[in-house]
Amino acid sequence: MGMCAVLGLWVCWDCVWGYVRDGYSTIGGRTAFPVFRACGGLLILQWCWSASVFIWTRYRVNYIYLFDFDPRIVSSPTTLFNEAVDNTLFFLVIMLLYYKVCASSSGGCTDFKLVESNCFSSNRNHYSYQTRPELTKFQT
Amino acid sequence: MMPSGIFPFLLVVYTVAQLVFPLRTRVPMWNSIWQVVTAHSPSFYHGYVGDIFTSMVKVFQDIAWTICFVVSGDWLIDEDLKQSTRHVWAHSFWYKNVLIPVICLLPLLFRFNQCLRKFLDTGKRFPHLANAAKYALSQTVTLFGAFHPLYMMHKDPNHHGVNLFQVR
Repeated sequence: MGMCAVLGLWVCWDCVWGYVRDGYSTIGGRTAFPVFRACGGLLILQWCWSASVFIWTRYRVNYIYLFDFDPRIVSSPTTLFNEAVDNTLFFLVIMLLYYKVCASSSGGCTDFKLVESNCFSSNRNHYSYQTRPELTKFQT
Repeated sequence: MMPSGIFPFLLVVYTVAQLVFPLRTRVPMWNSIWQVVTAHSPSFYHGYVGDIFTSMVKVFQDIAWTICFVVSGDWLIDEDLKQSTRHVWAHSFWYKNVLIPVICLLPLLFRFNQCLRKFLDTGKRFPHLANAAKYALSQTVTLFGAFHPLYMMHKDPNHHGVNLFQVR
């Protein structure tokens, strides 16, 4: 979630503050912005559903019974939040890459390589304990 | 050189994959959505999902735009091209005057059908018929907003599209 917040701040900084300060066009002015808006809307839905399930579980609302869910396939709030975080990370990284490529091709910011390297390192850090068993010995 | 549209395309592929896999949880989700669409014996959960759909009209419009963007191959076109050469489909009649208003109407129609179905199942006029009347009125308002020339007066006089629902 911290990485999501940092990437979200980065997106806001580059896409909004860059416009206010230097007059560059925001990501809202890019051609494919509705694609990001659509996926962002689905992401917000996923976050809201995760938060709802978290609150219902926390305050013992039996939503599984109310919604007639199959208890065997209901995910826990933690699992839902993990999925939402993964999807948000991918979304923000792709959004930044797209914005930087467009900005660099139109003469704006040119720190595309910085985004690329940060994306690689954040991916390594995020998935280190899930997919790289050799690093689990450092987990205390 | 790789077009910048590859990034939105990658995002679309990833999102579609997330909507399909894992099948263990996604198949019941799509079944529920299908039951909302067909209004087949709606339960409390189906009404809840239908209510969410009525709040997601803008997202559905963007999803339709995304589908057209990907299918038309516009994501392969360079960003630096003039605006007039891009997204020809977004200015066509079927998109502005048919697809977008239909997308605005469909969630309300789903809820309307659910209310009628609940009335048929239970025989209770209240609240099901009252809710159905509410959604019927909402559809009227949407159609009015989409096609009444009053809302196009401030736009280009030679333009007869549905400006209220124009995405870009």
